[in-house]
Amino acid sequence: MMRVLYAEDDPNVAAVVRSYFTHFAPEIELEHVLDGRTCLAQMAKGGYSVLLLDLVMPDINGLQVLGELARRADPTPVVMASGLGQTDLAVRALRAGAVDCVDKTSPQFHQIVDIVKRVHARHLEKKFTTPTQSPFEPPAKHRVLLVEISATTRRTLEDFFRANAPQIELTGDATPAAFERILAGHAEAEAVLIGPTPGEASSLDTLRRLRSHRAKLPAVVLAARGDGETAVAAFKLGAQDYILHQSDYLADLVFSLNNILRRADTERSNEQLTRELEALNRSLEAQVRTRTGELQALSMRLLRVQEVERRTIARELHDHLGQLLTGLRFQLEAAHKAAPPALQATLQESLGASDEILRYLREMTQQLRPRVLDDLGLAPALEWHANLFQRQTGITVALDVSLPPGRLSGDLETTVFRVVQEALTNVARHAGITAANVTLTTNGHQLIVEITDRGRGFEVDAVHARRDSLGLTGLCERVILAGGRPEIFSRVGQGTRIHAEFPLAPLPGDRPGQTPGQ
Amino acid sequence: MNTVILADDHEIVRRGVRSILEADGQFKVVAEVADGLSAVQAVEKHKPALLFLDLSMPRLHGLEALRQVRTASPQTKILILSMHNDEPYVIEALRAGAMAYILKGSESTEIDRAIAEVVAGRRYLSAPLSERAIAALTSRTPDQADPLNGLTPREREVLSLAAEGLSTTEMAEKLFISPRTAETHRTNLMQKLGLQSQTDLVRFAIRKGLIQP
Repeated sequence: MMRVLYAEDDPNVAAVVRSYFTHFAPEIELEHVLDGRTCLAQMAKGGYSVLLLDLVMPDINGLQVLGELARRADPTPVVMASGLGQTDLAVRALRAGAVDCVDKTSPQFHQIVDIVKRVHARHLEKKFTTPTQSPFEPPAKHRVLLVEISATTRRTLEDFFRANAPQIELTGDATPAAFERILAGHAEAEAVLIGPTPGEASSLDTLRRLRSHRAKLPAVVLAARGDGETAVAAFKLGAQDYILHQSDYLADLVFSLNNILRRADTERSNEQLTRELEALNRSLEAQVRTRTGELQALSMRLLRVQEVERRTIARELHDHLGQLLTGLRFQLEAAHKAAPPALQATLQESLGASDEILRYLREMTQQLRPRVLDDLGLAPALEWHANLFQRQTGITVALDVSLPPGRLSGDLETTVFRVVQEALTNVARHAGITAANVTLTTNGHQLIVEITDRGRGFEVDAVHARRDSLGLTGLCERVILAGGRPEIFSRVGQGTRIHAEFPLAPLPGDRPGQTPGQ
Repeated sequence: MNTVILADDHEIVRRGVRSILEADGQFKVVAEVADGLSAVQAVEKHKPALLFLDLSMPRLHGLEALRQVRTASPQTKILILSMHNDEPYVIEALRAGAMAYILKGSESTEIDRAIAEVVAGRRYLSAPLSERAIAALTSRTPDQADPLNGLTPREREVLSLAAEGLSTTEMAEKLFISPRTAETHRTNLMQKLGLQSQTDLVRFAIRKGLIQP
């Protein structure tokens, strides 16, 4: 349910407003208070959707109530009700954070119920689209350094602040010592109030000194004289406000200081938010890095699983089915020899069929995963593949292998074999040429693999942009997953060169001395 | 009578071979085993005249069993009976001392022929294998005394170009290889040939007639 607090000292106006609410919005609970203090006390209890606040009240005026609510960081939206000729006050109320201001004497005031409802709706919308929790808690008490040597002025200010703005604590004494400490950075204050008699130096000079030492510390000048030039000079020197030391200046001063301090709080809170965002960013980046690493590990594992699976299937086909077929063939042959003439032809056909099946089985197992790679290693496997490739495509492969004796890690052998296989397939598909080169060599700590052809070539960027019709991305990824560095060079009319370097130190996850496939 | 051991992890295959041997009448199967390790042990025990050996077997790969058997019983003649029709296997088996390589699924007459050849002290390869494997075997017995034979064809090209004074980049351009690969070839070939400097390299190339002095 929507609850509205209404502060208004004129009972007649209050009665009219109440009748509006009863008539137009009986569902809204309207609570009426007669002065500023009661209003603040009620607001402290919380639970109001909107505060409808009269600008001028006998004890604390609407602007002061606004200031106090701002200090409390009360998020309740405030609608001001102003009287005739209070335009400048109304503007200040809006500057101080009121959401709307309605002239009680204008016809607009008849729509006060709708205005309040609209403000509430907007506030809800804002509340649910912006984070409500501020991680920054403003300090309970604000310290403002008062630079003033006149004991009378000091006392007036201190008394007024103590009574009317207890949230602001004026610090320092009638000597310039506190100011010097501030300048030296030895004392802390959230703002500086330069009084009408700041000391030997003038207000402007004091402000100038403050600026040169503590450029960011907000300052308010309470000026003895009211000439426009001094005011302009003060603002140019970065004063946050310039208030004349004359009658009624105190409320203005409190209002101004409240605003400045709130802005400083916001800035600090923003800074903290920025810091937190930066930290969050860093943490996200770290997470992305970790996740990328995890993904790569996962891809590598997938590739391994795939190879293991292929190896298992190939073995099963080869070792089991193949042997059974071999045995079957022996039996068929014996049967063929002993069979009566009527069966001879059929058995001869069966023998032919078993030969066909065996041949097919061999091809299939080789395509799945060449056994040579597991049994004999990379170089023989590449030789075997080069021969097969040559027979199938008519493309001559010059294989140039210069590796020390012994086996490489199982993963590396598989990766290199698959990369060469893929690259050669690309040559057959796209290069339009009858020769290719495969080079494997090592500089002791790296394995260098290069597959080249002097064929058609292509624009590397264009191929990458076309979302990789040549399977180059997959090839590069495979190299990277094995800890290697791929490099593709190609130029139209010149040919293609796929280069990959792999570290020869054992990769994590490879058990040293492990024979692949065993 | 010639003693024989059959090593194959498939009973159906062993039975087939045994029936062929028994039909011949000159052979006595003294043991049948189903894995590589048992094959080695059985050969050590029986020292048979012939061993039929499968390559893909559990516990010990046929090629490794072959090497161990050769040491344990040098007089035993080994006939490989394998599903693998890939040249590298044939070459490896012959290098390790097998006398015959018969492809599984061949006509049983092939087995008869292989036995006859092996007993007579000659090598035998299943028809589709022989030419290629023997060509590969013979081409792979280079003159060890010539250090040039230790180089790959590409390394030899790099040697010639380096002797002509080409820079790594120029060589890479000419051979369409990456500069890093060219550099690696150059370093490796110098190491293989025991050359220390460009001068050494040029001198070696002249001596070998790769370039004109």
